[in-house]
Amino acid sequence: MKILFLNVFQRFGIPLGSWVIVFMILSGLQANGQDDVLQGKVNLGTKRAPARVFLEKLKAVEGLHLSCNEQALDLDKEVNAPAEVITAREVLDLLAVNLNLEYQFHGKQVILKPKATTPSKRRYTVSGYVRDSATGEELIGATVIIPELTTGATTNAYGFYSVTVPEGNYTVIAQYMGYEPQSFKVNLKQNVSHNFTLTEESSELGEVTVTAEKPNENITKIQMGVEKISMKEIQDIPMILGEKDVLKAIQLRPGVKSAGEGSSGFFVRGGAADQNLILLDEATVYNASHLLGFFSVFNADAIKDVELYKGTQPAEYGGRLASVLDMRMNDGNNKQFGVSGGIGLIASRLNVEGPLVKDKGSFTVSARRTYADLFLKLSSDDDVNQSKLYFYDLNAKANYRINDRNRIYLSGYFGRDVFGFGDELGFNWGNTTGTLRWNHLFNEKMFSNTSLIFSNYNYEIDIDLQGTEGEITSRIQNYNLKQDFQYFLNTQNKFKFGLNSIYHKIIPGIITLKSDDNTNELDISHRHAWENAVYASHQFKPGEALSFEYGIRLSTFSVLGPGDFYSYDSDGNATDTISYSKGKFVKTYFNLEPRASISYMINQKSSVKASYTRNTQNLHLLSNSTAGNPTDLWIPSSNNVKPEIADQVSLGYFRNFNKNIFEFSTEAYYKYMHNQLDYKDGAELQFNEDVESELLFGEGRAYGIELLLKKRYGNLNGWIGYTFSRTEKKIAGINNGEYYPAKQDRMHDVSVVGIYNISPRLTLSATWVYYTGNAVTFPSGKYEIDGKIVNYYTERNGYRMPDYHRLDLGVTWLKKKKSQASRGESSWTFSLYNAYGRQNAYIIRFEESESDPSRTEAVQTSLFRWIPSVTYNFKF
Amino acid sequence: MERRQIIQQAALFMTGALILSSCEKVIDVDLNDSSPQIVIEGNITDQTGPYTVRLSKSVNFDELNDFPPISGATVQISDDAGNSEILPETSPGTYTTVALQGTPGRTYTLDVTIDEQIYTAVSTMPLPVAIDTLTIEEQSIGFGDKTSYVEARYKDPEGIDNYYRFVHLINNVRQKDIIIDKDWLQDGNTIRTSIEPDEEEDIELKQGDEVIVFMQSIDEGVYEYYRTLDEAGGEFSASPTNPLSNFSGGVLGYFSAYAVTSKSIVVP
Repeated sequence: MKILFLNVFQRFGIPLGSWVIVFMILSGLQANGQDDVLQGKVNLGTKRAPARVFLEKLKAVEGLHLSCNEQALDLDKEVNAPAEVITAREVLDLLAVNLNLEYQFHGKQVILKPKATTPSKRRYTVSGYVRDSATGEELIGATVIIPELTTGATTNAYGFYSVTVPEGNYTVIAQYMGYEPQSFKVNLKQNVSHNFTLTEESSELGEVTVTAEKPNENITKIQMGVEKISMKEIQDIPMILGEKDVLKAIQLRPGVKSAGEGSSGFFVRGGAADQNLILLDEATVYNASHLLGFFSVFNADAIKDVELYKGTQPAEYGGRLASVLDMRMNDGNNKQFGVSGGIGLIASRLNVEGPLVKDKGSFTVSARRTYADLFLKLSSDDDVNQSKLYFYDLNAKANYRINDRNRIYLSGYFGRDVFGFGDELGFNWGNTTGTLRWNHLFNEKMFSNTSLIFSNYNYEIDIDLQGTEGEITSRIQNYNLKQDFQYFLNTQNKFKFGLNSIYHKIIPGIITLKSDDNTNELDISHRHAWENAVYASHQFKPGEALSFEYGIRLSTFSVLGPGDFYSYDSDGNATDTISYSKGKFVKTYFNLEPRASISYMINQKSSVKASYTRNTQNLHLLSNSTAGNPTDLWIPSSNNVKPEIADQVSLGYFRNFNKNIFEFSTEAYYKYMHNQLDYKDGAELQFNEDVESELLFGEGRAYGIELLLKKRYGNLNGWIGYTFSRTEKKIAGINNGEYYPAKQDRMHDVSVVGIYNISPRLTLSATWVYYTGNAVTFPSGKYEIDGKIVNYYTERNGYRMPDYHRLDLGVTWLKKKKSQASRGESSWTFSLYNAYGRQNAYIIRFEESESDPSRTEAVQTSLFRWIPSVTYNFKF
Repeated sequence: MERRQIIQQAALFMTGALILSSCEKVIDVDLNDSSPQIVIEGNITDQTGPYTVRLSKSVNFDELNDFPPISGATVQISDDAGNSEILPETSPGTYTTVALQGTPGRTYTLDVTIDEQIYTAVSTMPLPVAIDTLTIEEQSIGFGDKTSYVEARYKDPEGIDNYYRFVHLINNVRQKDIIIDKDWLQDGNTIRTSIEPDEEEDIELKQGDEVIVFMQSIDEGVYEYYRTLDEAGGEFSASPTNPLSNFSGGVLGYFSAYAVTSKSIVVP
């Protein structure tokens, strides 16, 4: 009846507006009658179903009279509800949004019909930060979704999210692994700023809601070839000598191989150890190993987030071929002071954090030191009690939120390994990094970060031993200005662009040798370089199933004077020396690095992804050993050494089971590398002004397939990973120019990690690793020189080390738990490394037999058998 | 060991210490066979002759340490002063000079013809350098233990590159390890080189032991051979290679023309 009235008066040209008002008043009067019914709860039975299912549920509501022209509607469309039980009004809104309807009240009836005209919907932004409610730490990579629109975003490295959608009524939910999800409802008619504060999941047994569906970010996210390591996981996995270690945890992921027993070095998808970019708060860490690799330089107490890109890094990263390990430090609890730490067999740690200004600024300081040398002091022998053997790490960070749009951070890392033997030998090395950052929000869609970064690695040797008296020092430094913009246009489009400018300085070695007569010094030509990159990328999600990310990075590397630059002939003799003065450009390389990835969601449980990336690398580590020594030399690209380039394609299939409790993924990759380095026979890599003449260049290729089955929820969780891979090089001058296996080639690699929460206070963990040996050079014959038996070698890397496998066990007993009464927590962790004591080969030597001098034999040295350890951790 | 290696080794001292906590065992490794390679060892010195050239073959790794000599080869040494001599085979695989006298400053060429293939090496004999003194020094190896070694002091000639090789005998038993040094950053200085007993042999210097030290002045090619021969042991490098021979033609071995001086000392 009312509609008839409307039409009649329209024809008479009376403004529609006044009729709208009348209509609204009338419907308002009428709506009262419907209100109670609409507030009633409807049990949908599922969170996701075709629209017709929800429509039927709505029609079944008592007292609700629904009318609509079902033929005109797309009732097969899949609709997501924010929860299984919602009010009838919410179901109505849900259908309205998804089927592009409007509803009107007409007496006791609710009429659903398509929107007459769709005026271009205004779009508004919901943005803000996702934080931990107890500490105020921003959560990196948290997802913020609007289920009604099946769209959302993830928080960036500073915890910021921005979602732009058409106006409407929505539920916005933030979730992060290990925390309770939090939601808020919004009637979006203007830009809204909302910060989420998530609370950690309570670890009470039985409350783990196994029935509810878990998030499926591994299916939906575009990025493939990326491993996110949770700090909780690092706490639970047993490790050598009880020290929780980020790098050791990474080695347990498929596609990542450990560089050897006890080593912190790692290889990703067949790449060499120097092809990994290790970043701590955006600063490059050149040598991540302490004590020859048994511990890494990263104190897990200070780290918030760890992500490893296995060669598929997006355009904002560059500089190394094989991977980027992006680590972010904790900002510090900005609500209250806290002290935590641990005492272990080999090292102890202390962490102090707290607010500078409550809720606005905080600081954190973490320190760690070993004390093996304290035992040396007990010796009566002068040489021994004056000896030193220790390392320390210090991580410090402070931040301050100036206002809603500006925040600054200052972070640094200082670490050192010190070894000294009496008067005769002193050797120390370490990294220093510093990062000053400014986050600026231009508006709710445009996030910017500006960083000034400094990084330094150096070593010093002092020697007075057996007729050699002298000092050696060497260092590599860089100064870096980095600017990144993130523009969140809307949930379908996100743009990233920025630049990175780095100045490198390398002092390869200053050697001073003393004798009775005088002192001589050799200062190998210092190297300077200026590296620049600009990048732009676009993340595009045209529909629910398909998403793309594509981008380009333009990088340049300029070798600068001052210095002497040499050209060599094929015999390694210097044919030309040109001197350049300070600041002069010797050579500049330009490289275009395109990046693209595509993700297609087959359904909510599975997706396929593909990607292509090109990476370049201009710093090369010259090393004679597989794992690396602190004295290995970094050299920049030059007139003789070209930038290394890698092209990688990868394809992956991701599938979840059992309501996303089990995640399965498989990724296959193929990588082709240009300008790979190897060394001439008998190359002298140390303290050699002509070290570039010792290098040989060629190509490399690597391919493989990785499988991972992961269970992240429940009392028993963990993963099983398997990687099959090959990596080879083809270098003119080696192996007759044919492909030969790279040193790090290891065909099969298995990791099994299990963590079992027996009770709220007791956790058992076990790790089993198995891998086939890497490629080595063994002799194929022998001969005699000067009465000594000498090994004869034929094919380079033609043999394999024996298979390696090892079981580690760990138990953590939470002695005192956090409760309402006290914040204090303490726990004991016992671990056993190499539980069945297998003698895994570390080195194999071929030499004259001790028992039978008429023969030669192979002798294997293995490092560790059963190594138990105990650690006490505390927190308050 | 050479100086650069001492520094590298010292820096890796810790690995040594940690390997103390490790275990060793003999294992079976399936190694490929290789075709027998020609090995030539040739020396000519400034001392009175005769000098020898030894030819032998390599064998497979699992065979007995019996290296077959190569007989019937033509071995010729010539110098840059017009002298030359063909060495007769005095015993299987050993070819000895008759009249040739080595002279410092001359460049010698060794040509070996086996089965119509010629293998050539060239070596220039440097001037001799005298050992000034030999002393017995002590080195502590931790935990109150000390070990003795001999230190040679000598004045390096200034202005030229000098390379040295040390051969020493303890109680007339020749020690097999390779000790070399050069005047890197030490040109014209008094160089001190430590001469230690072979680590492998587990020999310790005791009171009354007599040590005779021969210091050879060698040329760069021979020095490079011994440097890379040492590294072929495979402990330092993950990818060991065959030593850099100064022979052409892909044979194993070396030809060294050296001047030698010596001194001896008795451990007090």
